[in-house]
Amino acid sequence: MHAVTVKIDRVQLVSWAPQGRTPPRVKGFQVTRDSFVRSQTTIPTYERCRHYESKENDAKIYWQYWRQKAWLKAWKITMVADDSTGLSYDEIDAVLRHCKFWHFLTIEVAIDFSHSTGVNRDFVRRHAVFGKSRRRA
Amino acid sequence: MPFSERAAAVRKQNKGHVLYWGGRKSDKLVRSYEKEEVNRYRVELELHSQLLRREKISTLDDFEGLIDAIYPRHIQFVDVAWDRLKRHLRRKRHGRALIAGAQHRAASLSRLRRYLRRHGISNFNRFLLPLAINKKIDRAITTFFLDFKDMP
Repeated sequence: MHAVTVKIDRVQLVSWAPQGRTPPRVKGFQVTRDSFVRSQTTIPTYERCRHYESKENDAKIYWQYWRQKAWLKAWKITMVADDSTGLSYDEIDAVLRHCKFWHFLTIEVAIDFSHSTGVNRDFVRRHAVFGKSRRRA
Repeated sequence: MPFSERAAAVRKQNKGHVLYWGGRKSDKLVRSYEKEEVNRYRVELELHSQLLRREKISTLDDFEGLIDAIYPRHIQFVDVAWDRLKRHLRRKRHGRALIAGAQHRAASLSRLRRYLRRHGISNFNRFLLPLAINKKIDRAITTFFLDFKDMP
């Protein structure tokens, strides 16, 4: 077991799709839910969300579709990794092969430190620098 | 206890344990917390589209570019070069008080940086020294993204 391990923890992207196209079947995943999404703010975004779960691990996909505003892309897809394995190339590729003119909104990289490295909350407060980002109270 | 109260209690409990840097509207958001599911301490770098565009990460094959994008620009562990800082502060007015104040804030790099800037010491970075653990981080990031495509 390595002292420091890196994983892709979450990927979010938007994609073009033909009008009215519903999310496809994704290799290695099964649909667990497909439901109406009530508007979370004053601006409605996507009307429906289809949930997928991996057949092999705990990875999940949330596929939002039926946009409510013309300026939104047709699909917004969030992939959440299994805690222990992270997202693999194949899992992301299985989604991307159904998309066209897509771009990433977020890529979340998780860096896990074993306790033997001595990295904990106090260590991070005392020693970590994340570029120009400042700590939020 | 009803569900809503339980959920609020968990949120409140977690709020104190997660540290945040950056923001949702900036080019990255960093979270650090104890990840009990994998029994490790986790630092999460949430890279937003602004940063991804700048680093030209637009396809899955571009993920290799994250090696140079992440380290050392967006994550690094450093220590304060106290000797150098003390030498610098001694030359200032109320130097001793400044040193004492800095040492009092040593537990948090953000607090220390803010304190020194308030007292006219700019470019705090010149008093920072990288730690040895950075090499492990660099190696882990490089190995992961080079092997990413071939991983099962």
